[in-house]
Amino acid sequence: MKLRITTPLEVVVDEDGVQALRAEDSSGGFGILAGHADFLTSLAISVVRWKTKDETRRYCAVRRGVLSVDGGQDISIATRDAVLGDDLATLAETVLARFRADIETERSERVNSTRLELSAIRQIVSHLRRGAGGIGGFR
Amino acid sequence: MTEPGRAQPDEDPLLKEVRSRARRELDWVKFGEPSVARRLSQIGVLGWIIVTPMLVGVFAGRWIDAKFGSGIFWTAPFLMLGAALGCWSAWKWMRSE
Repeated sequence: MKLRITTPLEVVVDEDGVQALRAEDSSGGFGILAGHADFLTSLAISVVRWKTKDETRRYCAVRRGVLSVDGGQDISIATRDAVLGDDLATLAETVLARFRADIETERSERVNSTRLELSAIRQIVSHLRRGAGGIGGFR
Repeated sequence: MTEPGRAQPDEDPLLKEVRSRARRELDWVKFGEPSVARRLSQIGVLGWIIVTPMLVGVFAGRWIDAKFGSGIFWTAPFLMLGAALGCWSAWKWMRSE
């Protein structure tokens, strides 16, 4: 089976040869094997897990989302937030690290936009100071 | 990008769910599926929790009735009381398991 997990910003997983997948919606956990009937459900905040071609298990924490199975071969999950991991025990740490990084990015972006704004204002003010006498002055 | 819940990463629902899944997985690996014998013993205990207070009630009632010579006037309410007590404690036990 083909599995594709997407968030609004990126394709997190695009994998072929998935043998089995487990996910959770509001009614509890369920499993998908190849040849499953067409299926559509809305996932809970939970962990999606699957068995790959070479028998290893992979995990992905999702913040809700929509799971659909098409033609018994294509599974696609669209979610707001997805964190990938190879081990359920350390997935929580990965999630936490991601949150911290996100907060850090947000903070630096805010600082940068403030800096940009200030320098734009400074530019305008210095232009105005030079007076309307200059070429292309404000008038 | 400012979502409620993002402010405290430690209390994010996503993190909580991931942790609870990890804990369940660990429990499963450690203890596995409870065996049939264990399940049966649980059911047996549940039965005795209900029956024992009833028996105690009946014996207490019989004793009082024998003392005052009042037929089954006291046995019946004590039996009912025992049944109620047994069901209540069985309910509590089930919730705690």
